[in-house]
Amino acid sequence: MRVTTSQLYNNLLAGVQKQLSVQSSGNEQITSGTRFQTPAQAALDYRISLDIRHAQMGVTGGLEGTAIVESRLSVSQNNLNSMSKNFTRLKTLAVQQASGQLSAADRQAALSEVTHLRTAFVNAANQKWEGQALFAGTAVDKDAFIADPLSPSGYSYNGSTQDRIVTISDTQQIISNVRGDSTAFSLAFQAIQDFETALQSNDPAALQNSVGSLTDAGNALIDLTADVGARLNALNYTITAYTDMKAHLATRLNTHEGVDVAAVVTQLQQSDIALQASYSQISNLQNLSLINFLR
Amino acid sequence: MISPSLNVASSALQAQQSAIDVVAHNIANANTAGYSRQIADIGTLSSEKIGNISFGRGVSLQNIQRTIDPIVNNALTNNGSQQAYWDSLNNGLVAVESVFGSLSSTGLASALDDFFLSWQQMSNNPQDMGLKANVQAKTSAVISNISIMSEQLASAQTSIDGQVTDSISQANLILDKIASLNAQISRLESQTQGGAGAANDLRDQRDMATRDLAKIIPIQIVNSGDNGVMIQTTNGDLLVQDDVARSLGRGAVDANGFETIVIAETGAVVSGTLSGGSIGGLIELRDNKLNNYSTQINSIAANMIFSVNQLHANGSNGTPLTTITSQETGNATLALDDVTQNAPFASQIQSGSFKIHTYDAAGVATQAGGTTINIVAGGTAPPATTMTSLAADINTQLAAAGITATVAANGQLTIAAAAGTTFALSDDTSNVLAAYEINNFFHGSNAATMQISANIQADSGNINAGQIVSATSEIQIGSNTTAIAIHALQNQAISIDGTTSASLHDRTTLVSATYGTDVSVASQQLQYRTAEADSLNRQREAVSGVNIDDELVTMIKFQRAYEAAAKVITTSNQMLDSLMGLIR
Repeated sequence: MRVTTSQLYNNLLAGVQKQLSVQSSGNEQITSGTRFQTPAQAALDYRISLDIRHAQMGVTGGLEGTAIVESRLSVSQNNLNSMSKNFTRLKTLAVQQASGQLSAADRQAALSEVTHLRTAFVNAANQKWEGQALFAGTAVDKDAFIADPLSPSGYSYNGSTQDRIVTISDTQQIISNVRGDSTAFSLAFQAIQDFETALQSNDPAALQNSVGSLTDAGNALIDLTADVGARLNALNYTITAYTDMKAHLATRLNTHEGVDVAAVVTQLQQSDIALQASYSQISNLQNLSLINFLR
Repeated sequence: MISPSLNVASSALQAQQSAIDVVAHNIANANTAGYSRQIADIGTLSSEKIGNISFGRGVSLQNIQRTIDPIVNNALTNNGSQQAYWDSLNNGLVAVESVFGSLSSTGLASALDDFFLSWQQMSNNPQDMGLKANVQAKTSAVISNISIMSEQLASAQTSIDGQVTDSISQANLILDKIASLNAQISRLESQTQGGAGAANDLRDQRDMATRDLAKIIPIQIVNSGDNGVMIQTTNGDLLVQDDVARSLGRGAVDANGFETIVIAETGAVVSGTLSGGSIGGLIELRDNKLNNYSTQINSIAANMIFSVNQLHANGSNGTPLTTITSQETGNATLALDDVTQNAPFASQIQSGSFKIHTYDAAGVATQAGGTTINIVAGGTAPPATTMTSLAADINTQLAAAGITATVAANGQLTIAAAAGTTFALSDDTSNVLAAYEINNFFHGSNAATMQISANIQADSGNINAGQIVSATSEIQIGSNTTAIAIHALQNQAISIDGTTSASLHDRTTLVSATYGTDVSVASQQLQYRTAEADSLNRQREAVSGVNIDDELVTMIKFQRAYEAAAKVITTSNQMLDSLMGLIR
């Protein structure tokens, strides 16, 4: 094929432009640390990046949710522990007061402590965490228990029958609360009420019964506390799974988007050589003309 | 008999001089775009017979020919049309790259993720006003992203339409130039008008102009008599015949909202035939690519608006309402689901019902479980519900509870509670609340009109995180069922506009992926067409290009022939001198 001078220059210029494009692309990859930046550079890879980031956001939301559940359940567990200790003392008192050796005056004296223990129990049952009632279900603005003269136990549940649900993901929701309408609370209030009545009436037989009912209520509270503990343990598995997922997604994103610096540098060096050779050839071409030999 | 040799040598001097002129013309135009190398066609003069012997009478320049390959030229014209098409499409797509974000700022995708995360965070603490303000802020960010994308695409479409008009003007200038060149070539080459030889340079200019025209619109070239060319659109509409040119212009507005391209003299529409050329690329970009992205973004907005409103309208912020007004207007006497209603989602209304729960001054439900308001849609028997009949039904059923419903002249419904009483809404199975934006989260119907509802703009505390307990009418401040349901929307496949059902996340990533794929296809096609153009240009250069070395060698040959002819004259002159010397 016949070749013209301008064609030689045009070919060299096209080569220079191609190598400059390689340089520009390589520099962009190295400075950004990523193989691509825009959907125009890699449509499907960009979409995968968005999907991974979307999943990361889901994991972030999930971890935030688990932290809230952990916080609420831990505080609930602390309060339930406190209530259980309260009941241990009440049971001790009941065993002491059931003794036939004690007088009515002794029992009136004990009644004062029981009243304080009841107040402490009510306070714990109406405990708020971050301004929200712990045991009132979704009625977080209300006291979980209110004094109720019509109730045999003297207190009735004032909260809602709905649990406080925390969203971990689209498909996973976790109950973050312990509701006050559970049997343990009603048994506890009733047992305290019965114990007070027995002390007031100085009735050893009733006091003997109170030992049993306080033991049952205390056990119910321990069971409830254990249930919360079990839920916290299960939650730990979820937290571990989400933490692992977070690490995995970060690694995956890095692997997916990250640039192979060594490969790019090698490519840039090859391009450097080609570019320098092109420049040199353009300069040489100027000398390779018949004009230079016609004198 | 010496003078004939002087004449022969003289003809040689003239012929070689002319040939060197041709070489000089070639060298002068070595870098002229579209120039075809010319060759001096030197031929012997007719011989002279003296006795039985024929004597040559020398040489003359017979003709000057340009060296061209018509097949390569045609291929260049056709490929130029395709190359310009993909070039304008590729450039146009790259110009809107910022609309679709980058890894450092993923735009709508991350704004949408943030929006749903804010709902998730609020669902965990539904009574937290700070989290409600966060939902409002993240919603504003999503709306801003969607509307900016929509505006940028619309602006790009308008700008491209301006480029179409500019390209038409450019094409018209070229059409006039071709007609003018046709006339000049015809005049110069017409033997009857005293013309002689080929108008090489004018033909090069016409070829070049034709190739330039093909880069703007796809054309067909037909050679006509009198050395002219006839140029048609691919549909066969005449653009140039001999020295007459037609011009392109803009016609009536088409379905895409832009003026068509027509042949000004006939009004024939050529827009549909523009499968090549820069105008073809611009129209593909404006009417298909960018329009498709806009449609997808509008669909994201519409699905998001209606789906969120459907859930939000059934929700409660933990505080009962004293009054509420629909944000959409309408014709109060037309059926609520009539497609001619102003409300853009009126067609989503179906037969069903919603509940109004009423409360006394103490906040106690006056009728546990609320009052059911029925909606009839899609038929005349029983009569479809209108806004007027809906208000009448509410008034009939709830007057005793202190609730009144009124319809304004513009069709807006207001439900109000008497002093000291309140109400709440729930369980809408008819979509009437979402369609007429009652207790809504979003206002609008597409990317351009999307807004946060007026109530929520006024106070983010009006964001509904929970729901009324339907059976008891109980309002619980810690209820988060609405927030959970809205959060779950992010990965739910939805479609309210006839598009393929897909989640909002998938729809968003699909826009970016579609754009990226379009750029990739355009870029690959452009590379292919550019490589083909390079190859064809090399082929053209091989035939028609000027090689300086070639020309210099040719020049030396003619120079040597010229010198030899001069030597013949000198020798003849010496011979004449010798002859004269015999006489002296």
